[in-house]
Amino acid sequence: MPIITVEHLSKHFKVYKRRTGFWRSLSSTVSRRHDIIKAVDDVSFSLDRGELVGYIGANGAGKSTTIKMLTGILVPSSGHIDVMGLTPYRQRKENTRRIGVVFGQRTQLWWDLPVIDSFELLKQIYEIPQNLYKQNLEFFSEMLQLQPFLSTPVRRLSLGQRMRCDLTAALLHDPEILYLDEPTIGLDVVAKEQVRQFLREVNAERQVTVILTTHDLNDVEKVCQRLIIIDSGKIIYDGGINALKERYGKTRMLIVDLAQGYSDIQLEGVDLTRRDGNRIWLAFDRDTISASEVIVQLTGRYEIQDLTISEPEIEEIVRRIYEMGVH
Amino acid sequence: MMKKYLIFTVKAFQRTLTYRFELWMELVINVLFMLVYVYLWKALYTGQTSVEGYDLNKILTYIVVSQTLLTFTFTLRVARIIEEKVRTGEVVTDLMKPIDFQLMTLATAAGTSSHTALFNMLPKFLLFYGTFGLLLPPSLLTLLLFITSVVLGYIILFSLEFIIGIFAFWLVEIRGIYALVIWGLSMLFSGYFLPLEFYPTFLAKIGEVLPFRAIIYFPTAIYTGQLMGESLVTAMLIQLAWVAALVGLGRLAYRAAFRKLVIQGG
Amino acid sequence: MVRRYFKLYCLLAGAYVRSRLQYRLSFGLMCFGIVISEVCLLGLLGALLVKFRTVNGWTWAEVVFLYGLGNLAYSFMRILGSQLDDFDRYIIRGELDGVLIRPVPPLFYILASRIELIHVSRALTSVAIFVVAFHLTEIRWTLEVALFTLTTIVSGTLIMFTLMLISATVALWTTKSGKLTDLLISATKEATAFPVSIYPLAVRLLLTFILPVAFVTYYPAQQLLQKGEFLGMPESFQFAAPVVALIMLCVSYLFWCSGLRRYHSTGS
Ligand SMILES: Nc1ncnc2c1ncn2[C@@H]1O[C@H](COP(=O)(O)OP(=O)(O)O)[C@@H](O)[C@H]1O
Ligand SMILES: [Mg+2]
Repeated sequence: MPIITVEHLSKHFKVYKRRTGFWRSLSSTVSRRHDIIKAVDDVSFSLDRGELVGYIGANGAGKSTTIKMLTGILVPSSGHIDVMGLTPYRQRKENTRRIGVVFGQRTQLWWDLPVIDSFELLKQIYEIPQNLYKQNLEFFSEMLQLQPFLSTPVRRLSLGQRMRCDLTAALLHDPEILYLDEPTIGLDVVAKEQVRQFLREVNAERQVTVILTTHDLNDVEKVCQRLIIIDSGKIIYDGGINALKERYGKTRMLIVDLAQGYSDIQLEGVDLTRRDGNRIWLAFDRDTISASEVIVQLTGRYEIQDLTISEPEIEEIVRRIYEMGVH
Repeated sequence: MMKKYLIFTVKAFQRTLTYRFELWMELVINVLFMLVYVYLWKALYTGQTSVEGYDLNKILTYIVVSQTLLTFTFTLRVARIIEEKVRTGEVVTDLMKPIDFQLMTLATAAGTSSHTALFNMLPKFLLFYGTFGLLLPPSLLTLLLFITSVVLGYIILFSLEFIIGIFAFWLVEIRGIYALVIWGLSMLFSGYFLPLEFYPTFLAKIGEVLPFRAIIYFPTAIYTGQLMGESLVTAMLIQLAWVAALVGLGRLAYRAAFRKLVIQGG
Repeated sequence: MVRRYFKLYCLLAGAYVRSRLQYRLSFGLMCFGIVISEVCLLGLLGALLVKFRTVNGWTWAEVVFLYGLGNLAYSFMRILGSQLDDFDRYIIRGELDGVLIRPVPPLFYILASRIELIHVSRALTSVAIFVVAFHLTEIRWTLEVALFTLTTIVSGTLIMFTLMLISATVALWTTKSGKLTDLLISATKEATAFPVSIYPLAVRLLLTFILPVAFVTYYPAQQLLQKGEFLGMPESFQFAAPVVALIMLCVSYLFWCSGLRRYHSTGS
């Protein structure tokens, strides 16, 4: 029995055009035209209790819109959502008691008050029994090392500290599902890693079902067993992370700064995908050729100043899914 | 040189064009506001011919002109905008630009305000002018002097808001000072509610040493012909003096803020 | 249930008050600013009324009485409903999403998140003005008068609040409403300060049936001051304030709900 079932879910927005220029914007006072944006377009999936799923896609792919429909903020244009037997937008209040939500860009804490005050307020809002509250608070402040800044006003916390507090705030009432919309946005590497580690543990130890949206593949790589990729409102991949990497993630990108602008670049087993002045982007399949082999080839033929190897980005993987098909 | 500031004005003017509904509603409510005062004065003047040198027509003209000018006070959001910029840190990039921060802010405000003047104040005034048969300025010269005086008053109002806004570098929260100066003192002494001639003597005396009457009362009294000849010249000289003083004070304030930013990093 | 919400209200409002108290200087200056402007406005009004003696047959004491009554309702409404005066930021900054993920009715949550104590200074000034005006008008204190006055003030507060709510809700369609709410509420408050009889018929109808602020001061004052000036309206209007408040509550709440439904489907 899945905990979340989504069937043929769509969300369409009407977007009114703003016209530029003096007279044209005056005339749009009288009449307005609109476009329809299919932010989420016929999406279906289901999640089992205890899963930890990454919901990924580029900016504007429709991640936040999906999360808003799942949490009951938005009503779908069409389709069906079942979360723990509830329809989120109809049974909003019941649904919210049993879920936790974190918006990466916006804190849900009381800006000018000490962190602990926010927790106390949430205790009242969610009617958390005293002993459960104490137990959870201890658990999370231990795990996320909140102790040093529990009495600091939220506005003075660093982004990473604030995110740790937001995570705690979303979990104090023992939700069954935790939704996170871009929880690592703007965080530094260390803080990101802390968040990922924490989500893994919460999922494993407390059986919380977690859905995490991100546009950063690294987030899901180490955390999620399963991931769903959405692009332009449509799901284009739903499956294990390893299968994805097996199939599409073997490409590595080598970014090279050449000492001079060679007119013609010839290398075996490597695709030149982009070129910008003296900087070139080389894609290669790590099964057919190793990074060191590529570098040896390069240094043999050209004079280079600097190079970096990068993991594939979400955009790159999406591109390859389209190129190669999903199966 | 002035051209790059003019761009801010044009940009701000265009930006305001996109909010349509808000502007219509604002106009409607403004009209309601003015109706209240116009009918109050009509009621007060039943059975009176002239009070303090104002007959009914003159007082209605005064009320409509001053209420129209009051729109600037309501819509100028310079202090709030500066506060917001300080809070978000956007002000740093503004201060680092090779342009004068004060002039840039003024240019932007002027863009928004010319929109207000054109699409809110002018229609409102014409509506009341037509409906209640108000007076025109006694001569073309007076009209020109009136417009000059309005501009001077506007710069004074702007400078006050600018200085209040700059306080945000030190205070985090400026709503308090804003409320005190703009809602409190400015509303009281600007003469928007009734001509200063009607004020009790002690209040009028306090008002004389403050800049607020130069924002609304002076231009309005020039329009109605209440200030003429020598008193008109004096009024405009007083306005000029306040412009110089407050613009200068604003410059000092933002230099100090700039130093604070550079030395302490905000 | 009621106790839970009462407690929650106090806690949320308390949190806001504690936040504000971090900026004591600003808080103090604002209170001071409000009191100054209130007292001065009244001073100006006083100066005016003393000069002209009467407004359409209303003595200056009676006008001050009206002014005080309207101001009381206004200041209570401001204390309790301030969150609505810049409601558009909930939509512009997406804060409404944060409200909708809480297991509490959204309007309750929004109203409870702010109680503006600076307006207590206005309320206190209004109480003082009102008490003085009460004396000047030679109304005799009886239990009935006291109850009637109290009902009038409560109804008046609610009527003004519902206007504010309706105006704020408009932002759920237009996204940006700027200072509209603030402006509307100040305009209607200003209108209640004077006897409605000074306005032409169209404005009187507007203030009776569309923005029914005439029920905040003018009609109830007919009863308290025994003016008997109804301008062709039913005499029962003098007792109608609570009914009007109730109707307005229903209307504004339904409007709010439909606005929220719209937000649920457009997200902006
Ligand atoms: N309230 C809205 N009104 C109109 N368009 C919207 C609204 N919310 C999102 N969109 C559009 O829908 C698409 C998906 O947005 P979103 O779900 O926020 O993407 P993501 O979170 O993946 O970056 C984008 O093109 C966005 O511009
Ligand atoms: Mg998003």
